[in-house]
Amino acid sequence: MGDGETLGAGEYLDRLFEVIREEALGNPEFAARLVRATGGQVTFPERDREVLLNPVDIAAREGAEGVYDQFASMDVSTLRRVLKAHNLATPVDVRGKKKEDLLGMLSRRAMERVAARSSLKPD
Amino acid sequence: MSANIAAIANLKGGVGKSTTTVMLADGLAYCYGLDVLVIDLDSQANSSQVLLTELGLDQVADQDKGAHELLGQFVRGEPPIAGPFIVPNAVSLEELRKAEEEDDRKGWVSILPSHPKLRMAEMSLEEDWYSTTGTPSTLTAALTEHFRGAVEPLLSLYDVILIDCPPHLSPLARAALATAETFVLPTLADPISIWGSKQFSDWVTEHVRSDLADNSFVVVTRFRNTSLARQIRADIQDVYLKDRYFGAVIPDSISVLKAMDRPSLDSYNTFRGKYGSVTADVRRLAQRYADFMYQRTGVAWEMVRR
Repeated sequence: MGDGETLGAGEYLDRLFEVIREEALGNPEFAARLVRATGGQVTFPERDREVLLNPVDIAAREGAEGVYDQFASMDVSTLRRVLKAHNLATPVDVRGKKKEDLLGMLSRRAMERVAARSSLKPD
Repeated sequence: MSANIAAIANLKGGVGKSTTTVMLADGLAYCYGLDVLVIDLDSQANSSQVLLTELGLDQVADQDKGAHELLGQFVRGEPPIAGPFIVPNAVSLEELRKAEEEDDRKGWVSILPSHPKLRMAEMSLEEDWYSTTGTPSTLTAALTEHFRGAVEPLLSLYDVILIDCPPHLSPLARAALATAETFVLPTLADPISIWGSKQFSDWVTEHVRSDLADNSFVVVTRFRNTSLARQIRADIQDVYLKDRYFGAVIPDSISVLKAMDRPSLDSYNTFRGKYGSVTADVRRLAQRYADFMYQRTGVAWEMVRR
Protein backbone atom coordinates (compact mmCIF):
# COMPACT_ATOMS: atom_id res chain seq x y z
CA MET A 1 0.00 0.00 0.00
CA GLY A 2 1.50 3.31 -1.05
CA ASP A 3 1.66 6.42 1.08
CA GLY A 4 -1.76 7.96 1.51
CA GLU A 5 -3.59 4.95 -0.08
CA THR A 6 -6.63 3.88 1.85
CA LEU A 7 -8.35 0.50 1.80
CA GLY A 8 -11.85 -0.60 2.59
CA ALA A 9 -12.28 -3.13 5.39
CA GLY A 10 -13.01 -6.00 2.94
CA GLU A 11 -9.93 -5.31 0.81
CA TYR A 12 -7.79 -4.96 3.92
CA LEU A 13 -8.96 -8.32 5.31
CA ASP A 14 -8.55 -10.04 1.92
CA ARG A 15 -4.92 -8.98 1.77
CA LEU A 16 -4.29 -9.94 5.37
CA PHE A 17 -5.80 -13.41 5.05
CA GLU A 18 -4.04 -14.01 1.74
CA VAL A 19 -0.69 -13.46 3.47
CA ILE A 20 -1.72 -15.79 6.32
CA ARG A 21 -2.95 -18.42 3.84
CA GLU A 22 0.29 -18.30 1.84
CA GLU A 23 2.36 -18.60 4.97
CA ALA A 24 0.25 -21.53 6.23
CA LEU A 25 0.64 -23.43 2.96
CA GLY A 26 4.41 -23.02 2.96
CA ASN A 27 4.97 -23.41 6.69
CA PRO A 28 3.38 -26.53 8.21
CA GLU A 29 4.39 -25.60 11.75
CA PHE A 30 2.62 -22.27 11.44
CA ALA A 31 -0.40 -24.04 9.92
CA ALA A 32 -0.51 -26.46 12.85
CA ARG A 33 -0.43 -23.59 15.33
CA LEU A 34 -3.23 -21.83 13.48
CA VAL A 35 -5.36 -24.95 13.39
CA ARG A 36 -4.72 -25.66 17.07
CA ALA A 37 -5.63 -22.08 18.00
CA THR A 38 -8.98 -22.37 16.24
CA GLY A 39 -9.69 -25.84 17.57
CA GLY A 40 -10.01 -27.33 14.08
CA GLN A 41 -9.17 -30.86 12.97
CA VAL A 42 -6.90 -30.95 9.94
CA THR A 43 -4.88 -33.82 8.52
CA PHE A 44 -1.31 -33.23 7.49
CA PRO A 45 0.72 -34.96 4.77
CA GLU A 46 2.86 -37.88 6.00
CA ARG A 47 6.09 -35.98 5.30
CA ASP A 48 5.04 -33.23 7.76
CA ARG A 49 3.80 -35.46 10.57
CA GLU A 50 7.22 -35.98 12.12
CA VAL A 51 7.59 -32.23 12.66
CA LEU A 52 4.01 -31.43 13.54
CA LEU A 53 2.90 -34.21 15.86
CA ASN A 54 3.81 -33.60 19.48
CA PRO A 55 3.69 -36.90 21.42
CA VAL A 56 3.32 -35.15 24.77
CA ASP A 57 0.39 -33.09 23.54
CA ILE A 58 -1.23 -36.21 22.06
CA ALA A 59 -0.62 -38.15 25.27
CA ALA A 60 -2.38 -35.41 27.23
CA ARG A 61 -5.36 -35.34 24.87
CA GLU A 62 -5.70 -38.93 23.69
CA GLY A 63 -3.74 -41.08 26.14
CA ALA A 64 -1.14 -43.78 25.44
CA GLU A 65 -3.24 -45.49 22.78
CA GLY A 66 -3.59 -42.20 20.92
CA VAL A 67 0.19 -41.81 20.86
CA TYR A 68 0.58 -45.36 19.63
CA ASP A 69 -2.01 -44.90 16.87
CA GLN A 70 -0.71 -41.54 15.66
CA PHE A 71 2.90 -42.69 15.36
CA ALA A 72 2.35 -46.31 14.29
CA SER A 73 2.83 -45.50 10.61
CA MET A 74 6.32 -44.08 11.12
CA ASP A 75 9.44 -46.11 10.43
CA VAL A 76 12.21 -46.85 12.92
CA SER A 77 14.50 -43.96 12.01
CA THR A 78 11.64 -41.44 12.13
CA LEU A 79 10.52 -42.73 15.53
CA ARG A 80 14.08 -42.37 16.81
CA ARG A 81 14.17 -38.77 15.63
CA VAL A 82 10.80 -38.01 17.24
CA LEU A 83 11.89 -39.49 20.57
CA LYS A 84 15.12 -37.49 20.56
CA ALA A 85 13.54 -34.26 19.28
CA HIS A 86 11.11 -34.22 22.22
CA ASN A 87 13.84 -35.29 24.67
CA LEU A 88 11.95 -38.48 25.45
CA ALA A 89 15.03 -40.60 24.74
CA THR A 90 18.77 -40.32 24.29
CA PRO A 91 20.72 -41.88 21.41
CA VAL A 92 21.76 -44.61 23.87
CA ASP A 93 18.12 -45.38 24.73
CA VAL A 94 17.04 -45.92 21.11
CA ARG A 95 20.12 -47.83 19.94
CA GLY A 96 19.21 -51.25 18.49
CA LYS A 97 15.53 -50.95 19.41
CA LYS A 98 12.81 -52.38 17.15
CA LYS A 99 9.79 -50.40 16.01
CA GLU A 100 7.46 -51.90 18.62
CA ASP A 101 9.95 -51.09 21.39
CA LEU A 102 10.27 -47.51 20.18
CA LEU A 103 6.50 -47.04 19.96
CA GLY A 104 6.12 -48.46 23.46
CA MET A 105 8.87 -46.18 24.76
CA LEU A 106 7.30 -43.17 23.07
CA SER A 107 3.84 -43.70 24.48
CA ARG A 108 5.05 -44.67 27.98
CA ARG A 109 7.45 -41.78 28.36
CA ALA A 110 5.05 -39.23 26.87
CA MET A 111 2.42 -40.36 29.39
CA GLU A 112 4.98 -40.20 32.22
CA ARG A 113 5.89 -36.66 31.27
CA VAL A 114 2.27 -35.53 31.21
CA ALA A 115 1.63 -37.17 34.58
CA ALA A 116 4.76 -35.60 36.10
CA ARG A 117 4.41 -32.09 34.75
CA SER A 118 0.73 -31.27 34.22
CA SER A 119 -0.98 -29.26 36.90
CA LEU A 120 -4.56 -30.45 37.10
CA LYS A 121 -7.67 -28.55 38.09
CA PRO A 122 -9.50 -30.13 41.02
CA ASP A 123 -12.77 -31.90 40.09
CA MET B 1 38.53 -43.38 51.96
CA SER B 2 37.17 -40.43 53.90
CA ALA B 3 34.76 -38.32 51.95
CA ASN B 4 35.14 -34.62 51.50
CA ILE B 5 31.86 -32.84 52.32
CA ALA B 6 31.07 -29.83 50.17
CA ALA B 7 28.06 -27.54 50.53
CA ILE B 8 26.82 -26.02 47.29
CA ALA B 9 25.27 -22.85 48.60
CA ASN B 10 24.28 -19.28 47.95
CA LEU B 11 21.69 -17.10 49.62
CA LYS B 12 20.28 -16.10 46.26
CA GLY B 13 18.04 -18.48 44.32
CA GLY B 14 18.41 -19.16 40.63
CA VAL B 15 22.20 -19.00 40.53
CA GLY B 16 22.63 -22.60 39.37
CA LYS B 17 23.20 -24.48 42.64
CA SER B 18 21.45 -27.62 41.44
CA THR B 19 23.02 -27.45 37.99
CA THR B 20 26.46 -27.10 39.57
CA THR B 21 25.73 -29.96 41.98
CA VAL B 22 24.72 -32.34 39.19
CA MET B 23 27.59 -31.32 36.90
CA LEU B 24 30.10 -31.72 39.69
CA ALA B 25 28.65 -35.12 40.67
CA ASP B 26 28.73 -36.37 37.07
CA GLY B 27 32.11 -34.79 36.33
CA LEU B 28 33.85 -36.24 39.40
CA ALA B 29 32.28 -39.68 38.94
CA TYR B 30 33.06 -39.79 35.21
CA CYS B 31 36.51 -38.15 35.04
CA TYR B 32 37.96 -39.39 38.35
CA GLY B 33 35.94 -42.55 38.99
CA LEU B 34 34.82 -41.21 42.37
CA ASP B 35 31.86 -42.45 44.40
CA VAL B 36 29.72 -39.36 44.90
CA LEU B 37 26.78 -38.93 47.26
CA VAL B 38 24.46 -36.00 46.59
CA ILE B 39 22.49 -34.82 49.61
CA ASP B 40 19.67 -32.62 48.40
CA LEU B 41 18.41 -30.37 51.19
CA ASP B 42 16.61 -27.89 48.95
CA SER B 43 12.89 -28.62 49.15
CA GLN B 44 12.53 -27.49 45.54
CA ALA B 45 14.29 -30.82 44.91
CA ASN B 46 15.83 -29.74 41.62
CA SER B 47 19.00 -31.83 41.75
CA SER B 48 16.87 -34.82 42.82
CA GLN B 49 14.52 -34.15 39.92
CA VAL B 50 17.41 -33.93 37.46
CA LEU B 51 19.03 -37.15 38.66
CA LEU B 52 15.90 -39.23 39.34
CA THR B 53 13.19 -37.52 37.19
CA GLU B 54 9.91 -36.28 38.66
CA LEU B 55 8.34 -39.72 38.53
CA GLY B 56 11.37 -41.27 40.22
CA LEU B 57 11.19 -38.63 42.94
CA ASP B 58 7.65 -39.63 43.83
CA GLN B 59 8.56 -43.32 43.67
CA VAL B 60 11.43 -42.98 46.13
CA ALA B 61 9.35 -40.78 48.43
CA ASP B 62 6.75 -43.58 48.49
CA GLN B 63 9.58 -45.95 49.51
CA ASP B 64 10.27 -43.71 52.54
CA LYS B 65 13.58 -42.47 51.15
CA GLY B 66 14.69 -38.86 51.25
CA ALA B 67 15.97 -36.04 53.43
CA HIS B 68 12.51 -35.48 54.93
CA GLU B 69 12.76 -38.96 56.46
CA LEU B 70 16.06 -37.97 58.09
CA LEU B 71 14.30 -34.95 59.54
CA GLY B 72 11.45 -37.19 60.73
CA GLN B 73 14.01 -39.38 62.46
CA PHE B 74 15.31 -36.31 64.31
CA VAL B 75 11.77 -35.27 65.30
CA ARG B 76 11.09 -38.76 66.72
CA GLY B 77 14.29 -38.60 68.74
CA GLU B 78 15.78 -41.62 67.00
CA PRO B 79 19.53 -42.11 66.52
CA PRO B 80 20.98 -40.54 63.36
CA ILE B 81 21.17 -43.10 60.54
CA ALA B 82 20.97 -41.88 56.94
CA GLY B 83 21.67 -45.13 55.07
CA PRO B 84 18.07 -46.38 54.71
CA PHE B 85 16.99 -43.07 53.18
CA ILE B 86 19.63 -43.00 50.43
CA VAL B 87 18.86 -44.02 46.85
CA PRO B 88 22.00 -45.95 45.90
CA ASN B 89 21.63 -45.54 42.14
CA ALA B 90 21.25 -42.07 40.70
CA VAL B 91 23.50 -42.73 37.71
CA SER B 92 22.42 -41.42 34.31
CA LEU B 93 25.75 -41.80 32.48
CA GLU B 94 26.01 -44.83 30.22
CA GLU B 95 29.75 -45.27 30.82
CA LEU B 96 29.23 -45.62 34.59
CA ARG B 97 26.29 -47.98 34.16
CA LYS B 98 28.18 -50.15 31.69
CA ALA B 99 31.28 -50.37 33.88
CA GLU B 100 29.11 -51.43 36.81
CA GLU B 101 27.40 -54.05 34.65
CA GLU B 102 30.82 -55.43 33.74
CA ASP B 103 31.72 -55.55 37.42
CA ASP B 104 34.31 -52.82 36.93
CA ARG B 105 32.78 -49.89 38.76
CA LYS B 106 34.66 -46.66 38.17
CA GLY B 107 32.61 -43.80 39.53
CA TRP B 108 29.08 -43.81 40.86
CA VAL B 109 26.40 -41.36 41.94
CA SER B 110 23.99 -41.96 44.81
CA ILE B 111 21.54 -39.52 46.34
CA LEU B 112 19.75 -38.69 49.55
CA PRO B 113 16.94 -37.00 47.63
CA SER B 114 14.80 -34.09 48.56
CA HIS B 115 11.07 -33.68 48.10
CA PRO B 116 8.68 -30.75 48.62
CA LYS B 117 7.61 -32.66 51.74
CA LEU B 118 10.92 -31.55 53.29
CA ARG B 119 9.85 -27.92 53.61
CA MET B 120 6.55 -28.91 55.28
CA ALA B 121 8.40 -31.18 57.69
CA GLU B 122 10.89 -28.41 58.47
CA MET B 123 8.13 -25.83 59.08
CA SER B 124 6.29 -28.23 61.36
CA LEU B 125 9.50 -28.92 63.29
CA GLU B 126 10.25 -25.21 63.64
CA GLU B 127 6.72 -24.49 64.94
CA ASP B 128 6.97 -27.23 67.55
CA TRP B 129 10.50 -26.27 68.57
CA TYR B 130 9.77 -22.57 68.97
CA SER B 131 6.47 -23.18 70.78
CA THR B 132 8.45 -24.42 73.79
CA THR B 133 11.68 -22.75 74.84
CA GLY B 134 13.59 -23.52 71.68
CA THR B 135 15.29 -20.90 69.53
CA PRO B 136 16.64 -21.01 65.97
CA SER B 137 20.15 -21.35 67.39
CA THR B 138 19.34 -24.31 69.61
CA LEU B 139 17.48 -26.00 66.74
CA THR B 140 20.46 -25.41 64.45
CA ALA B 141 22.81 -26.91 67.03
CA ALA B 142 20.60 -29.97 67.56
CA LEU B 143 20.14 -30.50 63.81
CA THR B 144 23.87 -30.10 63.22
CA GLU B 145 24.59 -32.80 65.78
CA HIS B 146 22.02 -35.13 64.20
CA PHE B 147 23.28 -34.37 60.74
CA ARG B 148 26.92 -34.94 61.59
CA GLY B 149 25.98 -38.18 63.30
CA ALA B 150 24.10 -39.32 60.20
CA VAL B 151 26.90 -38.39 57.80
CA GLU B 152 29.78 -39.80 59.85
CA PRO B 153 29.27 -43.49 58.87
CA LEU B 154 28.99 -42.42 55.23
CA LEU B 155 32.46 -40.90 55.12
CA SER B 156 34.08 -44.27 54.55
CA LEU B 157 31.61 -45.23 51.81
CA TYR B 158 32.01 -42.26 49.48
CA ASP B 159 34.79 -40.09 48.09
CA VAL B 160 32.79 -36.90 47.88
CA ILE B 161 29.53 -35.78 49.50
CA LEU B 162 27.85 -32.81 47.83
CA ILE B 163 25.13 -31.06 49.83
CA ASP B 164 22.77 -29.01 47.66
CA CYS B 165 21.65 -26.32 50.12
CA PRO B 166 18.42 -24.30 50.00
CA PRO B 167 18.62 -20.57 49.12
CA HIS B 168 17.97 -19.38 52.66
CA LEU B 169 19.51 -19.72 56.11
CA SER B 170 16.99 -21.85 57.98
CA PRO B 171 18.23 -24.05 60.84
CA LEU B 172 18.41 -27.01 58.44
CA ALA B 173 20.46 -25.01 55.94
CA ARG B 174 22.76 -23.80 58.69
CA ALA B 175 23.19 -27.35 59.97
CA ALA B 176 24.25 -28.37 56.46
CA LEU B 177 26.74 -25.52 56.25
CA ALA B 178 28.13 -26.40 59.65
CA THR B 179 28.63 -30.01 58.52
CA ALA B 180 30.51 -29.09 55.33
CA GLU B 181 34.27 -28.79 54.99
CA THR B 182 34.32 -26.91 51.69
CA PHE B 183 31.89 -24.52 50.06
CA VAL B 184 31.01 -24.35 46.42
CA LEU B 185 29.55 -20.94 45.68
CA PRO B 186 27.73 -20.68 42.34
CA THR B 187 27.04 -17.15 41.21
CA LEU B 188 25.91 -15.30 38.12
CA ALA B 189 27.95 -12.54 36.54
CA ASP B 190 25.44 -9.83 37.36
CA PRO B 191 25.28 -7.11 40.03
CA ILE B 192 22.35 -8.66 41.94
CA SER B 193 24.10 -12.00 42.29
CA ILE B 194 27.36 -10.38 43.40
CA TRP B 195 25.50 -8.70 46.24
CA GLY B 196 23.78 -12.00 47.14
CA SER B 197 27.15 -13.76 47.22
CA LYS B 198 28.59 -11.04 49.45
CA GLN B 199 25.63 -11.28 51.86
CA PHE B 200 25.96 -15.04 52.01
CA SER B 201 29.75 -15.03 52.43
CA ASP B 202 29.70 -12.36 55.13
CA TRP B 203 26.92 -14.02 57.09
CA VAL B 204 28.42 -17.50 56.95
CA THR B 205 31.88 -16.17 57.83
CA GLU B 206 30.47 -14.38 60.86
CA HIS B 207 28.05 -17.03 62.13
CA VAL B 208 29.05 -20.46 60.78
CA ARG B 209 32.59 -20.72 59.41
CA SER B 210 35.20 -18.04 59.91
CA ASP B 211 37.47 -19.84 57.41
CA LEU B 212 34.90 -19.75 54.61
CA ALA B 213 37.15 -17.77 52.22
CA ASP B 214 39.97 -20.32 52.42
CA ASN B 215 37.57 -23.17 51.69
CA SER B 216 35.48 -21.60 48.96
CA PHE B 217 35.27 -22.72 45.36
CA VAL B 218 33.45 -20.15 43.23
CA VAL B 219 31.67 -21.14 40.02
CA VAL B 220 30.32 -18.52 37.62
CA THR B 221 27.22 -20.04 36.05
CA ARG B 222 24.86 -19.23 33.16
CA PHE B 223 27.59 -17.07 31.71
CA ARG B 224 26.67 -15.05 28.62
CA ASN B 225 29.75 -13.93 26.80
CA THR B 226 29.02 -10.20 26.60
CA SER B 227 31.39 -7.37 27.42
CA LEU B 228 29.31 -6.49 30.50
CA ALA B 229 29.32 -10.07 31.79
CA ARG B 230 33.07 -10.38 31.14
CA GLN B 231 33.68 -7.17 33.06
CA ILE B 232 31.54 -8.30 36.02
CA ARG B 233 33.18 -11.72 36.03
CA ALA B 234 36.61 -10.09 36.12
CA ASP B 235 35.48 -7.89 39.00
CA ILE B 236 34.20 -10.93 40.93
CA GLN B 237 37.46 -12.78 40.44
CA ASP B 238 39.92 -9.93 40.81
CA VAL B 239 38.21 -7.66 43.31
CA TYR B 240 35.14 -8.85 45.23
CA LEU B 241 36.02 -12.51 45.86
CA LYS B 242 39.71 -12.37 45.00
CA ASP B 243 40.77 -14.54 47.95
CA ARG B 244 38.68 -17.53 46.71
CA TYR B 245 39.48 -20.41 44.41
CA PHE B 246 37.66 -20.13 41.09
CA GLY B 247 36.24 -23.09 39.23
CA ALA B 248 35.26 -23.31 35.58
CA VAL B 249 32.74 -20.96 34.02
CA ILE B 250 29.48 -22.67 33.07
CA PRO B 251 28.03 -21.03 29.95
CA ASP B 252 24.39 -20.18 29.42
CA SER B 253 23.56 -22.86 26.89
CA ILE B 254 20.72 -24.96 25.55
CA SER B 255 22.98 -27.96 26.23
CA VAL B 256 22.79 -27.26 29.96
CA LEU B 257 18.99 -27.19 29.82
CA LYS B 258 18.94 -30.47 27.88
CA ALA B 259 21.41 -32.11 30.26
CA MET B 260 19.15 -31.22 33.17
CA ASP B 261 16.14 -33.00 31.60
CA ARG B 262 16.57 -36.75 31.99
CA PRO B 263 13.99 -38.38 29.71
CA SER B 264 13.11 -41.22 32.09
CA LEU B 265 14.44 -43.09 35.10
CA ASP B 266 15.60 -45.91 32.80
CA SER B 267 17.25 -43.48 30.38
CA TYR B 268 21.03 -43.26 30.05
CA ASN B 269 23.33 -41.14 27.95
CA THR B 270 27.04 -40.93 27.35
CA PHE B 271 28.95 -38.13 29.08
CA ARG B 272 29.45 -36.34 25.75
CA GLY B 273 25.87 -37.04 24.67
CA LYS B 274 24.43 -35.71 27.91
CA TYR B 275 26.46 -32.51 28.06
CA GLY B 276 26.86 -31.76 24.34
CA SER B 277 28.55 -28.42 23.76
CA VAL B 278 29.30 -27.95 27.49
CA THR B 279 31.10 -31.30 27.90
CA ALA B 280 34.49 -29.58 28.11
CA ASP B 281 33.10 -27.13 30.68
CA VAL B 282 31.84 -29.94 32.92
CA ARG B 283 35.20 -31.73 32.60
CA ARG B 284 37.01 -28.48 33.45
CA LEU B 285 34.72 -27.97 36.46
CA ALA B 286 35.69 -31.41 37.78
CA GLN B 287 39.38 -30.79 37.06
CA ARG B 288 39.36 -27.44 38.84
CA TYR B 289 37.61 -28.99 41.83
CA ALA B 290 40.19 -31.79 41.88
CA ASP B 291 42.96 -29.15 41.83
CA PHE B 292 41.22 -27.24 44.61
CA MET B 293 41.03 -30.40 46.74
CA TYR B 294 44.66 -31.28 45.99
CA GLN B 295 45.71 -27.85 47.21
CA ARG B 296 43.75 -28.34 50.42
CA THR B 297 44.47 -32.00 51.21
CA GLY B 298 47.51 -33.01 49.16
CA VAL B 299 45.50 -35.95 47.79
CA ALA B 300 45.56 -36.14 43.99
CA TRP B 301 42.62 -37.87 42.34
CA GLU B 302 43.64 -39.88 39.32
CA MET B 303 41.83 -39.17 36.09
CA VAL B 304 40.25 -42.35 34.72
CA ARG B 305 38.29 -40.97 31.74
CA ARG B 306 38.61 -37.93 29.45
